Amino acid sequence: MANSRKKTQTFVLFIVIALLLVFFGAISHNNFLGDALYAITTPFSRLGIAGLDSVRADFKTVISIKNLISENADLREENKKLLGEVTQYEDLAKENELLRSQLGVVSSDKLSLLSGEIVSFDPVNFSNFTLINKGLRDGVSVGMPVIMPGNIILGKIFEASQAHSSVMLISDKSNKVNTLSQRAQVSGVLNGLSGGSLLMDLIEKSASLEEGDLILTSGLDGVYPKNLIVGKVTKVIADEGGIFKQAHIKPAYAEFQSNLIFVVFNYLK
Amino acid sequence: MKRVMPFIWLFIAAIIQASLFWRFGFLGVPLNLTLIILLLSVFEKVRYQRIVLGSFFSGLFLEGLSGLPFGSMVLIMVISALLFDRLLFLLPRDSFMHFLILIICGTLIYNLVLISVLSVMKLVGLSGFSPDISLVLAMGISMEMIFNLFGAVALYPLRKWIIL
Repeated sequence: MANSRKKTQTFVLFIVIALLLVFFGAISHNNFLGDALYAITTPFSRLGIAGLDSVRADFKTVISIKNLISENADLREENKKLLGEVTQYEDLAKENELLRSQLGVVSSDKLSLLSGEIVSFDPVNFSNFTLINKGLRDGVSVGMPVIMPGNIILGKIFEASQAHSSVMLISDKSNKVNTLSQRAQVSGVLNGLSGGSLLMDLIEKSASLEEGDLILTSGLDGVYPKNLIVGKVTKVIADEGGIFKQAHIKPAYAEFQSNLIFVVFNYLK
Repeated sequence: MKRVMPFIWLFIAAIIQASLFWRFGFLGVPLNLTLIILLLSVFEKVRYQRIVLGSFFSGLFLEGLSGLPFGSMVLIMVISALLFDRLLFLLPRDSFMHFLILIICGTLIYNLVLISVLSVMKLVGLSGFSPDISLVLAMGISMEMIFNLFGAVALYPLRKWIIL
């Protein structure tokens, strides 16, 4: 009986300490304990991530050797097609710039980016967060969009400490994103689902959306710049009785192997 | 050194969980190595003081890697350890099958504590996030149980070296 009481007292003591830590984290503007823990753990997790990505790249090379010839031929064809498209777009961009300068309209698409690195994938299950190595001392603030190379949207800054920040991924259900399909210019709202997948909702029932369509941000929410790559449609769901349809989207960031990110500085409205 | 080594293993487990295993996760769920080490210690009837300390430190290590509000991981791990001690003593702990049952029950308890703590923190305004109660969440918990079972089978032969 005495042993059981002593046990309970020990557990209660540690629960009280944990609650004090929670309280400290909530009221403190300078969470030096959190920063200290971050400083101890993240060098090792960064090593782990870098090491794993290197090994995966090597394995991928070995496994894909037999497909190299056909993949090479496909890529050459795609390259020729893309070269033609790039030339067209370059001409259009020049024309656009010329017209803007004649009308006195300034381009609003210039993004100011701060490069950083993902240092930890949240080890807590179902948590749609990730830690990056940029924080308040680098000029990062809550709400700033975070993207990956290739203009792939990742999420936005949720909490910022001095040396690091947590990024809420777009797969979190509270992170709504206004989206547009590139091909048919169909608009919708992106909702995160548990498990890291995405659902594009409020799509007009008559809109033409197909599997494989590329989904981009529309910029209408004022949180994320437009034309960031969200992902590709994997399934279109048309409810007969409903007035909208939905589409499952595979997030582009999920396929990205690098841990390099960019915080967008000059977009918060 | 022998008394400190288990905590070093816990630290390494937290790092591996947050870096390597995340890439191999499914539905946002990786293998929960720190939980397996705690449950292994419970199974081997390690003294409760070591279990509490182990849960406290594993929470601290995960705190540095997690985007959740500060202190939440420590709270979740310590409450989980308390419930492991209170509820899992009913389970027999003398065979490998019992160990696997303990892993399943322990994983379920941990996830229930996780969801409860984060929901309460969101209610009182300390957190903007709590898991979405849905079929996908249930699938995720099932997936974690399966991953943890595989991890437990792999770590069981090493238990004498890694328990707290």
